[in-house]
Amino acid sequence: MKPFRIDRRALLRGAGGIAIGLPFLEIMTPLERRARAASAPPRRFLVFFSPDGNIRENWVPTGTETSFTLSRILAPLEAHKQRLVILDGVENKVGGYSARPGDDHMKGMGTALTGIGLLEGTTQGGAGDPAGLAGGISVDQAIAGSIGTTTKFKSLELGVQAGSSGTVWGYTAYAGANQPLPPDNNPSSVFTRVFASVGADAGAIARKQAERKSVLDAVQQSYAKLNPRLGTADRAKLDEHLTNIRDLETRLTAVSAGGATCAKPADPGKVDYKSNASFPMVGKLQTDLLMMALACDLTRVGTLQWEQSVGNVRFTWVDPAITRGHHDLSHDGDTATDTIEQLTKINVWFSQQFAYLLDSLQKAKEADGTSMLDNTLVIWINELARGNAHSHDKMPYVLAGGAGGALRAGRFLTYKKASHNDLLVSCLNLMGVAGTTFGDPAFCTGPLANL
Amino acid sequence: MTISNSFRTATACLWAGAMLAQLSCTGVVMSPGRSGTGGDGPATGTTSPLCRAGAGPSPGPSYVRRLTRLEYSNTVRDLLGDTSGAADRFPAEEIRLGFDNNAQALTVSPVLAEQYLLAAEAIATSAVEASWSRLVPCDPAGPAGADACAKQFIATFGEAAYRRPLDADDTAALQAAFTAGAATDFKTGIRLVIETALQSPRFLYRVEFGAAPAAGQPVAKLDDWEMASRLSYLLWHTMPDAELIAGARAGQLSSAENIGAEARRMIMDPRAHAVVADFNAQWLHLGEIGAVEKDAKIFPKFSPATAGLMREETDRFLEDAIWDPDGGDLASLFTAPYTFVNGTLASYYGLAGVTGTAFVKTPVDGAFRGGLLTQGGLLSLLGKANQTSPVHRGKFVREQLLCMELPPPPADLMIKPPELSATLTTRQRFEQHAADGSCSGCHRLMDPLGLGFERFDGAGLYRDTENGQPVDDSGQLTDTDVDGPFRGALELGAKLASSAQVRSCVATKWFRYGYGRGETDADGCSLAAIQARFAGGGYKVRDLLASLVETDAFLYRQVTPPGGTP
Repeated sequence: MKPFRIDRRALLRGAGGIAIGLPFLEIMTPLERRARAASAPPRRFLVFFSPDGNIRENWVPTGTETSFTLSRILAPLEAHKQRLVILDGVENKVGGYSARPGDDHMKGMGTALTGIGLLEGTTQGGAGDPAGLAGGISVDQAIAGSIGTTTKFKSLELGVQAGSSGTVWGYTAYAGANQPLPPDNNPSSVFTRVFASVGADAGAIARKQAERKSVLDAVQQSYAKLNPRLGTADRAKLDEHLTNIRDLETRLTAVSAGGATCAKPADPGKVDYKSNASFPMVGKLQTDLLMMALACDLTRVGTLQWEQSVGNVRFTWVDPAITRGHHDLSHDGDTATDTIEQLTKINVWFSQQFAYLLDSLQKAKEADGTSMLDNTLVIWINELARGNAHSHDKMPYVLAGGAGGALRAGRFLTYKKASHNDLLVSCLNLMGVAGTTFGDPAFCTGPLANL
Repeated sequence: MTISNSFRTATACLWAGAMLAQLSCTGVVMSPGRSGTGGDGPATGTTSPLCRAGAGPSPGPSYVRRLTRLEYSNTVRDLLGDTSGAADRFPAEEIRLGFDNNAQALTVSPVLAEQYLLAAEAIATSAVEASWSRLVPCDPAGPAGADACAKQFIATFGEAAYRRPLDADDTAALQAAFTAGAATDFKTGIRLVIETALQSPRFLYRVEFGAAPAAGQPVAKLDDWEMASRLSYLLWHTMPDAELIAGARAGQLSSAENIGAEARRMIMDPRAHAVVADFNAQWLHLGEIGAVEKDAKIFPKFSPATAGLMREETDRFLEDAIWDPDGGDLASLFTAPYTFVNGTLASYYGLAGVTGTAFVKTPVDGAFRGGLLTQGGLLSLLGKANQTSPVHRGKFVREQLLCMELPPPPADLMIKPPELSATLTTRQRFEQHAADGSCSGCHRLMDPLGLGFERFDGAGLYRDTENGQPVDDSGQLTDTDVDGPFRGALELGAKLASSAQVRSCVATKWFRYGYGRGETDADGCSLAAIQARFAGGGYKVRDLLASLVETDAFLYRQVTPPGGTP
């Protein structure tokens, strides 16, 4: 029956982007053999976000570009030191200086990956004008537009108590201006969405996909007939919905191609993912799910968003003395040494979570024997440099991984007021996407020098 | 007929509250709207929307509205009997202008599009398995044949799902889905029709085109089916019931009298109470109470379970106070001398005479407690984990009850909140704010107000002393229409209860919630109608809900949609 053939083609599309015209025998080749035959493992891009600024004096390494000592906060990354590029002196200029609305948290968050100022809107933050959401596509999505087109998910946005506010404080990833991609905070929902079809019977998958295609065709027909009759404002909204349904149909015809270390993870079941105490447990679950989605080549681009801008998690498991929320603490002045110590410990903890992600990527082997970390670029971002100053200069950026051989790692780079837009351009280039500007071109000079 | 001309008087006085919000506070205290928000923000600048006498109906903009998670859940429950909570997995709505149902914020992200698909599959599968005979009243093996049965199903189910009779395009899309599924079997065909319908714009959105306008008129009434949906989603958060559908089919939902009669019937229903409760939860941030946690060293009596009980206390109090047939006025929310507790919560508060797990209406002392501002839920929510927070308590009153917007501290300010002390009172610790010029500009609006709550600790318990010193609960209201000193939260509640600014504020918030948008310059008469009904009934909260069906904004729509036509 026809759906079966569609499925086989879809599997191929999922594996390598070659969908049509292969001889019958090639179509019947087992997935694992094809995967091994592929010339190079795919490149991947991950974003790791933690909020409310860092404590620079305990974060910045000492030493030279190639001979340096990790700081107290970055010490948990010692085992991966040769896979890191630590960037000091890069400034989020578009967040700090552009004449766009929003307070410093909002601007830092909305520009973190987009490099462009916020839209006007009705969310009243700090001293700035009320703002809306980010003004453009985020770099992870621009990269996904290149490397994420053949996988079941163009990208996955996972959160750990992130993005529940429904405002610019809550999102890092954007499909475009005013189009946030809300992180999914619930491991149970992530599991169902991402892994439900992994390992299922091929015939059943084929039937399901044929049904979905019929339904989505009919649904698209409804929007296509209705949308032109609507007013301009309403039509823009429903056209965006229609576009997302089209993308859905394309993606749903792809399934997991499998990978060397692909295995369906355990169903986390119902998870209490909202309580303060569950934060570390949910973070590990989300990291594991994201890892396995990469290992199964269900996606090649992901965001792991810990809290959100102005996040106020109480890190009691880090130190029982920490009774105040993260953002509360971040407002204390530099003379509050107890608070600075607590914030340092919180960032050490985030560093440990970053190390866990790198460990997992290191352990996951590709079909060609390299590690997933070799082929991945991970960037650790924050919406602020320092919380109490709400500053955007000397942002605490860390890059990690091999980016498929493109990243010269094991380095500590210092800049003088380099623009973070240039760092975003470098991320694009490292992932094989051409470009000399990203976001607001007024803040771009090209890729970051010496990276 | 439309609202009477008596409403069409200049209403600047009713906007005194909004005018007062244009204050300075090391800068400005302003309403959140600004120009260039495409009609989504509230009226801007210093001019308030006016209602010009003698002008024709002025409905303001109306947008296509996407169902919220709550509306989706209620609708699939009423359409297919589905109570699986499928919408719980949908991403949270963006909060705009304080509410989760702002039409322009309710877009569909890739994740949501996918969740709609998964939910539709789960709901349709369960419907054809569990309620086939109710769903499909004809026999596909009968003499009329399977195709005729499918046509009948598509027409009847489609009308219910789309809340109006299908047009040819709707029918063709559902028929295509059936045909594809029927290649497997009839049941699959029906299931795919349901999956398609649940993802279609006519189901997920409330789409309106209006009745045909009279020649040259800039506004038109809604057609009867559109009006049925407006009523049911405004008053019940769900699809129209059989009576509304019958009214729409008979063409009886075009007169204001009939619409009013339907509204009166619907407001008697528990579903209308749920709408008021949802408004309250968003307006007063009650949804956050259940997640409140406290430092056990400072507040040993408070447990996570306490927070849940406090939420229930305030929910039950509001339900009783608002729907009390002999009362229900706004003032009672701030002053009523009773609350609802069960045995556990009574013992937490130290209230005698209540045992057991059931909540019972219980008198409070009346000297210090009375009204929702003195209940543990808000007091705890607006406190820190280890202390009270005069700032947050003051800010809440300013923003939620007086509709004033307070900007957060300047971004470059090094903030050092007053440290906990074993000897000083909170008031003494906060004196720095009043003394420091960089703080006092704004904090003069929050702290003197919030310090009036000091008789209640950060976990909502009454106290006479703090760190061995007697509590001073004197407070000060400034820049409002009820300025002056007060002593304690109960006296503050009484002041707020008499404030025209508070009344105007609550009415405006109901406008935003009810219509899913901010007020615009075109909405002066609609706001005036709401205010007039509210005042005419003695400021009963339930009248605010009733008044929303009597405005130009509800009864009409502009012939030219927002943004024009392509």
